Amino acid sequence: MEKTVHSFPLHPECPDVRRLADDPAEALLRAEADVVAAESAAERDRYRRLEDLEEAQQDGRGVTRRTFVAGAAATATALATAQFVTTSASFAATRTGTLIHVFLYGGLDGLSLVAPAEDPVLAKARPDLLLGDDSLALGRGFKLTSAFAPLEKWLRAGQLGFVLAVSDERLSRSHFQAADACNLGGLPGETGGRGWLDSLVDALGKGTAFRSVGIGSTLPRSLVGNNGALSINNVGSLKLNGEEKYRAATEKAIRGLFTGINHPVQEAVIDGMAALTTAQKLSARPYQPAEGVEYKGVGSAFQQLAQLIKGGANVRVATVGMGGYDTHENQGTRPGGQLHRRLNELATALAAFFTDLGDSAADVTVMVSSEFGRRVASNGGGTDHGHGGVVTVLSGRKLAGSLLGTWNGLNDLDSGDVPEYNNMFNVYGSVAQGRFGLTNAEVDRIFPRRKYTPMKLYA
Amino acid sequence: MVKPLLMTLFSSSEFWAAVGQKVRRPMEYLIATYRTLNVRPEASPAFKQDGGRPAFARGLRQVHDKLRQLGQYPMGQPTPDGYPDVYVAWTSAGTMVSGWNEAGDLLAGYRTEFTFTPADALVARPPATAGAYVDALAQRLVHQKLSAKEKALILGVAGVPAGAKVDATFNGAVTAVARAILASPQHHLR
Repeated sequence: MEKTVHSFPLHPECPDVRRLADDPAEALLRAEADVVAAESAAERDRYRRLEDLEEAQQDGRGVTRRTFVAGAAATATALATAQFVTTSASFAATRTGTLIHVFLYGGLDGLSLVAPAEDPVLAKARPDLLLGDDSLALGRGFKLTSAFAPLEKWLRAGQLGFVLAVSDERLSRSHFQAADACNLGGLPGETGGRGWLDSLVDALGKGTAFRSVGIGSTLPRSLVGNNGALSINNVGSLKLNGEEKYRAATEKAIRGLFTGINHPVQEAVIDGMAALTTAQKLSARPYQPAEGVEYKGVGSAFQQLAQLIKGGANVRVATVGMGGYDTHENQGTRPGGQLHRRLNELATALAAFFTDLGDSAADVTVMVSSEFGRRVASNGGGTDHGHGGVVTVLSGRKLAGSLLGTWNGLNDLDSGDVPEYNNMFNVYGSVAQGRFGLTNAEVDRIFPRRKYTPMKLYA
Repeated sequence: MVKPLLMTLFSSSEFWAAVGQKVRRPMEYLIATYRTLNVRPEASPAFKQDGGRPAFARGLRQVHDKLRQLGQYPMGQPTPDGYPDVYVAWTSAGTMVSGWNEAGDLLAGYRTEFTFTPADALVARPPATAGAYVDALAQRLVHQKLSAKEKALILGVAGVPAGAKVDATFNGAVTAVARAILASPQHHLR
């Protein structure tokens, strides 16, 4: 289980960090301290809740179906062995389909991805960072960076859409705090330190050990919680080491040793062993993507997901992280520029992924977001931390349009940022709701202490 | 004042019934594994010093990296209440397998930054039959006898019956056999 907020190195060059202290080492230390403080609060809440459950069990107060439905299903089940014979009891209907949350660490400059065409405010505030003439046309008078050209096919099919001006009042201009809130679906204290995807999994019913997967060596905050998410770098890495000839027998022995031990850990181990079997079956032969598909750069993470999804591992939620979006200087919005190249790498990977999935893509939705947007005005080559970012949705299910949500123009900026026209957690919730067919009440539970308002994203 | 308290504590049945109820967290699992394999801080003869950091520093770095990967490392949890001590937090497939693989790496002799007892020397005078050898290894590694069912499962790793003649290397399987014992509930529960 992961304890760091940022899956990517801190940004030593980032003015945010430099402002914390004159000495760079000291500044990094202080930045870490901030992260740690946020984490501590989250962890405290989490621990207290688990303790309450344990106490309740010891007192014989029992766990009722109500506490189950209320949310902490897996924890309650696991701790309440006395009350439940089958520890995987689940009252939610089993769902199908996959939601992949791609997180762009560093704060994507949304206006370098999608921007209103011919906008006088942009022409004045960021003349050096306007989208090029080679941009693709979007609905409602917007244009899309040419870096996303590999995804044109899905744009035309109505499966690629963008929500602009996405933010939440909880997001500060600190990478650490904002990334944390985005991944938790609220402040640490509000969500009890649980990731939003982990809470979402509560509503998805029974599943396999691959139900929630983070591609990487540590779990992102969005998957931390009660549902035993798996973090793997690649499918083949999930196996027992040592000599091949003893492997199968060792797995059998471990499964046997943990069977009938009258301890709830039994179930976790047996589930884990099943995951090993699946992973080995899938990685027995080198993965062969569909004809003509080549995975490059961040694409390798999507290749693992394609392998799992096509192999029938029943992935419900998954995460992919990509760094390098903190573009204070040398931003490069246009072709040949730094940001353009990076966005192109992402679009190429997504196109490869959806081509490779073929018909299975119909059940997959990819949501790309970042911790915050950047300021509207150029700082003379780059942009600084701001708000009102862009969320990209690529879905097997047809969308309501290529430009989604509310947009009221750039005439009234919010302290130099794109105002919050669309709430981030309403966007998250609506993407998940449409993917899994959840009720408003089910989505509401994912984001505690805020009222969920559905948005029209899907056709 | 302390003495009667401890007497009451140690003579309560709840105290003794608590053994084996908790699951070792990753750091505890790693430490227990290093201890039972008698890992010592000196570099093993197989270690190749190719400039850079000394073996000990490198070894500790490796341990630290492993702990980070497992999600529990010294000073990683700054709150006074410490890391959660409920097994759900630590028993995802990835974490468990990663712990077992560390035991496998140690037994296979890959951690040359440290000295440790080789797998075929864990038991001083290895019994000549497989069943007795498993008993001796269990005693040595988890300090208890395995049940008949557990013993059969461990013998299954090497694929030999209890009466089979084996040498000190368990006919080549000692690493796999010892690792399976270190993946048992006896080593996981505390």
